[in-house]
Amino acid sequence: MKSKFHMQLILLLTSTIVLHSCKKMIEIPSPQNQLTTDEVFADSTTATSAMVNVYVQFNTSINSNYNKFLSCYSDELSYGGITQDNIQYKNSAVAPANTANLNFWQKSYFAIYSCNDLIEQLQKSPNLPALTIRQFTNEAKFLRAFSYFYLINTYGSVPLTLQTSVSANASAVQTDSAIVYKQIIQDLKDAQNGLPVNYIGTGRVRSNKYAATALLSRVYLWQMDWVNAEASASAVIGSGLYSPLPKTTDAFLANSLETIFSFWTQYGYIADGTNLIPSSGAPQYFYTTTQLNAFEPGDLRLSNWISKKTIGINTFYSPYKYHNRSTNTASPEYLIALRAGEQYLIRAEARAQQDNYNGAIADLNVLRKRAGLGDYSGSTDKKSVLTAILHERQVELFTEWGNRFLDLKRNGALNIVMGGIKPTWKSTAILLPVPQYEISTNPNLKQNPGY
Amino acid sequence: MKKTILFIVLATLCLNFKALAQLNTTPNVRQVQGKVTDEQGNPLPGATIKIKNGTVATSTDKEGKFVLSNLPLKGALTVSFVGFQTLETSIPINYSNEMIIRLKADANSLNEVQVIGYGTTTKRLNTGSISTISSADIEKQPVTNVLSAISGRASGVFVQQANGLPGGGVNIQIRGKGSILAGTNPLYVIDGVPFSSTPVTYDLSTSSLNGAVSPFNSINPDDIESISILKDVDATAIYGSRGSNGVVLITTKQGKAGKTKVDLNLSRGFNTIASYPSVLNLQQYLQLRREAFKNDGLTPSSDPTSSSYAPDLTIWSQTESTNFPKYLLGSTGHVTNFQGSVSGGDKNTTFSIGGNYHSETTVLIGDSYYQRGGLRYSLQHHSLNNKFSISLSGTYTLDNNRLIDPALSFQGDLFLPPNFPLRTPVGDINWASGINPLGDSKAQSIVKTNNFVTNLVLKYNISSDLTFSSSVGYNKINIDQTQTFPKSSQNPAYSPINSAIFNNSSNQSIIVEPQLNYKKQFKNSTLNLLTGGTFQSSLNQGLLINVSNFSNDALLNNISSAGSIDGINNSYLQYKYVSVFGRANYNINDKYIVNASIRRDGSSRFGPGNQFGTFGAVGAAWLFSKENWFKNMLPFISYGKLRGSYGIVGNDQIPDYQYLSTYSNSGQYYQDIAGLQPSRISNADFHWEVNKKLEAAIELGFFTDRILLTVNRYQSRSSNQLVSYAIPTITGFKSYQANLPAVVQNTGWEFELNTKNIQEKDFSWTTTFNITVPKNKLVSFQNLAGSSYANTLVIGEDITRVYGYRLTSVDPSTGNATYAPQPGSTSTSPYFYNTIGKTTPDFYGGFGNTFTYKHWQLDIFGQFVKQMARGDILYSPGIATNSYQYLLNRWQKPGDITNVPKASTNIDYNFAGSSVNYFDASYFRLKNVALSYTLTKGWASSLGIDQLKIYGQGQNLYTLWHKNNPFLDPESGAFGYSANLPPMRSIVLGVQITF
Repeated sequence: MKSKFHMQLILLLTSTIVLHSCKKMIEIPSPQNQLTTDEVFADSTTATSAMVNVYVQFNTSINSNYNKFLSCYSDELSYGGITQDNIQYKNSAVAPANTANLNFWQKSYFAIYSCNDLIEQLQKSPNLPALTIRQFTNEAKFLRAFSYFYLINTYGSVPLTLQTSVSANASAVQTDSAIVYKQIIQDLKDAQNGLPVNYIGTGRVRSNKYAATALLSRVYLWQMDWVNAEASASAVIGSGLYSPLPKTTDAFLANSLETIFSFWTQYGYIADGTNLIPSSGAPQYFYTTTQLNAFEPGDLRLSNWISKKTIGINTFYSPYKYHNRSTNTASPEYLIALRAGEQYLIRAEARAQQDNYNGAIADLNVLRKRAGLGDYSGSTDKKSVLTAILHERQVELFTEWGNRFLDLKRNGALNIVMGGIKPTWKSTAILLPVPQYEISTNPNLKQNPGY
Repeated sequence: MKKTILFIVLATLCLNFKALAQLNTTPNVRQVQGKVTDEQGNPLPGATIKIKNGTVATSTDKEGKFVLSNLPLKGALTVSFVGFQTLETSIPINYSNEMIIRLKADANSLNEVQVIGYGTTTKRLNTGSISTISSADIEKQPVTNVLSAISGRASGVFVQQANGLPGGGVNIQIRGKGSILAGTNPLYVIDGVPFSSTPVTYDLSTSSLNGAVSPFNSINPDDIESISILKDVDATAIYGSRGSNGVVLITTKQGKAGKTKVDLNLSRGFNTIASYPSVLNLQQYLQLRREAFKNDGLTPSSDPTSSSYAPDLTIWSQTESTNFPKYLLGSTGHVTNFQGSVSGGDKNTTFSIGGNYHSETTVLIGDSYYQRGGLRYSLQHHSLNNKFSISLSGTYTLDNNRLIDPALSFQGDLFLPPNFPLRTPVGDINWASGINPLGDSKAQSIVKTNNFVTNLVLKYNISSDLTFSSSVGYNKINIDQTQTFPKSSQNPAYSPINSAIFNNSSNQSIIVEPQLNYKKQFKNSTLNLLTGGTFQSSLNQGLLINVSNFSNDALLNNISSAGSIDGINNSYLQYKYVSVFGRANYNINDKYIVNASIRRDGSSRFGPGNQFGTFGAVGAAWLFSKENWFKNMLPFISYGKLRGSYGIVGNDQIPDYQYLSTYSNSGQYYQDIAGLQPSRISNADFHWEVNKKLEAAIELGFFTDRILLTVNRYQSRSSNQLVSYAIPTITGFKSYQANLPAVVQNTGWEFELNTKNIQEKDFSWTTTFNITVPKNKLVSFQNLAGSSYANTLVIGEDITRVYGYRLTSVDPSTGNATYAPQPGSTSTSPYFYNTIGKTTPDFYGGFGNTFTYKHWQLDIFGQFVKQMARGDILYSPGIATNSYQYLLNRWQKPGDITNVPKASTNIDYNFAGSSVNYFDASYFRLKNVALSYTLTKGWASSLGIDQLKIYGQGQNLYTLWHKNNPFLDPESGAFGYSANLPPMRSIVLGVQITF
């Protein structure tokens, strides 16, 4: 009996010790190749690494899954390869299971998640200087607004996630695009007020006050808020930082004066350079006759921003705004996101909408002059001037961030223009499908009509 | 941990002293002493000596000696020992002489040693459900990955060769898929050392034509003595948290005492592909394409800028064609295999040392080969007094796997239009289709693996009842991978920058397991107690470097010649695991057996507060054939056992650090600053999953065990499964680690039948047959409708549910397909989430026969599965890509009734994901035929040869399946959903000499 009691005592004592030491035995340090989130935001250097990594994604994974495909989807580019996902864009019949479509959606939301995490963590950070917190928070807001702008223009209403909670985000519903626009404007206004005029580091590759203002002017234009669109564009143009416009041959170089904001590239060529610029043989992506016919004779943009190549009996015209397809340290190129040329066109349109035709034509002529063309000589009625501006946008902003698709859509011209060109065009193609994966994993998401 | 050991030692000692004290009080009357040995005279420690029909019993000590007291004047003794025939001998008249009792090895499979977790038993006395594959079964099969040798040979174990190329993986599921999108791999243990079945490079994944490199390729199949597959909870509970998907115990060969034995084995043979996909021939393809243009009202154009550009109809030859599957997979691979070993030893020390070399070339075009070489050692020693023993075993294997096409253009190549010209008219590689096997095959993947597994066991017999042992195991597997993409392997129109990927990853793991074993023989019963602990620590590290811009393609293997570094990534995963476990086994008269085990585990993969879990099980068996009433009633039933088990096991097969919120290196730079990105959505709350398993079985032997039948019924219910929980990417990620609030049930019937049909002196015929009928069901799911599985899972259905569009009809007048909308919805949009089927097989099994006639032996083994699977039709008919013959069923003219829509250059994207593209993938595969001739006497022995064996073996010789269904192969499944090449058909001839 007594020994039984002893046994129990030993058992009790030992198990306490054992349990305690067992816990120690399975303790592992945080992995060597990772930093805990707290560590990242305890130090300016690592916080900067987290900040700049959001920028990286727009060149390496977002734009390369977006721009050329939307150019194919509208009337700018054709695709000559055999990848079925890409052919779907050419036919303007993108299936919900399309991989590039999922990639664009997924990478955009990853950027948004990264921004949200930055904003949350910076607020909690005990050590970072207030100036850094303010700077990074506003950069994150700018990039979040930038992402949402393209998402709603591609998919219509999309879920608006402003924090990182998985339980809230996993079942998020689509938010009305008016509310998303409101958030975009709010974020951009914060960024406009919170960011300095100076760019951090070398190059115009971190958002500043005017990057936020420039995007804001575009958003106002899309919202048909002509007064604010004009005012914002004027603020950018009037800063004097981005004029005079460089020659067409210099406009897309890393140090282009026209650049308001661009994404840095490590080796001097944009991620899509290898896909868009053929080194030999026929290009995969080439301009349609619609796009080529849009240029007036003598337009330098046709000769300098489009490359002509004859192979056998066939002639191909392919994108050549960016020239580099591999490492180039002599004349590097960054992926330009906002440039002054667009600001002139925004202001021209806003002015024309406010019946200031002379002002509008003056802005239009800035671009025509650079393109080696004569001043606008058409009628000065509203319809004609607006048509001229839309046309100028087509020949100025082609193959940049899906601009043509967005322009046709906001002007209600998409179905008319595209229906006349592509037999496979359907009126529901105005919105791309919500990726199948998203529909499969979020019962609250609704597929866009027609898919 | 030291304290734990001390405690265990102390506690068990206390128990033991008490028992010893009892023994010593028994008075010694009429005593006999003796020694029990095997036929060679080696002592058999632990043998049981009993007085027949009496109560007195004892067991032999470590020298095989025993003393038996309290003997009656006359009667008989029964002497029994695991793996030996029970002997009956009369009680000697003269007590003073030492009795020498020699036991004969038992040929009855019921008495063979059965390896179980932390011990051994026999099939007869086992309370759990275990299938065993012996070295004899493995040696007959010319396989590279030892896991494929299991295929069809064990009930409840579904084996799928995922990829037939060397290095390819084998999927094993024991008793159904218990988990959604989570690890269903069993726990593999090689000589006591847990062996990770996940590719070492998994954190830095690089694609390869053979899929991810399975670490099992660096295990030499011929080094293996036996593979035991632990299926039910009674057998697996001793592995606690890691037992939920079953446990596979691999035991390597050991030496035997006696004359030094040299064994040499050489074989050579060849591989061809087991099956080719049935693609359209040129005329069928061209007709389909012309029809597509006609249906669309278009004219094929030879202008590449035209949207009707169709070089296959306007430029390329209309008469000359290539059968691309035959072109790509039609080579013959050559196989050479050499094994040599020396083994032997004396009473106290035995050893076995072996070396092996294997080389094979593949069926692919281009330069691919596989080589493997290794060394195995095993050393056992016990002290003269048998108190102490030590054993050391290990294997070291190197392999080198060279394969073409790491860019995986293979699928595209396979379905190139039949008239695609590989070369342009001037003789250059033709890149008109974007891919070209001549170019694709110039890209290379080289994977070099070295794998070291070793285990040291120390044993000390504290008393005749109590043994302390401790094992220390170590495994290091290292992978060195190089992938090279020369300019010539790439379409010059795209990105002919040469590039290479270098990856060096390793996984090392150390495990220490102290144990105490207590065995006590009572009058009519035996008690076995086991208690022990485990400490395991693993570290996985890897470095992946992407480089490009080499000045010359010839320098691609030399990293320092790279012009630019495109990305550097590393991985670092640490894992620690600690547990205490115990097992009690109580056996009454070999008639009633109860077995209970318990284990408490802690794992570093869980967040603070959730690290520990307790698991356990109880199993019981009743050998009713030992009951006298039964023997009288049904004498033809020579063996009968009812057994059952119930218990809880877990699963910690989840990635490391999932509870930790971290940022990791993105491998990218911005303004020359290295980027850091969020690694995951961390979840500090996930906890151990619970897997409740229930089993009942009956085992029967008829006519002196010539017919053995086992019937198992199992049910397992897993709840709170640890899964990589799928989430929409709007959360930033595609998944995160979480417990699934669902109950998933696997039930099934398993039948195993072994018969000795004919047993004559010169001729014997045995048959083995097994079949498993599994069923899987999602029993419940908390708030399924609001979860991210709302569309993909349905309560009451299989969790391998296949869903898609339901094709309602192909309009006989237009040839267009229509798809059903969501049931109950007003929308007319096709609905994607209809249940189409499941991938859980309806049943599977194996059937084998072995014939021996004098020196000849013939084995024939077949494997069968009844199952459905997604087909390999990737597009609706009409585009410039070849496809399966199935498309001949398409709509062609008004009035055609079919389920394949008309040919069109515009793809019907719903078709490939529809109910039509789901086919019967059942098959019967003649897995193995082996014929051997063995000579043990005659001229061979005059040359000093103990045994000479000449053999021929064939693997995957013939497959019976629905050949017109669109699959590359019914076993590896559709190529389109994962890169998987069909299994190989191998034929080898060999000779084995033992002297």
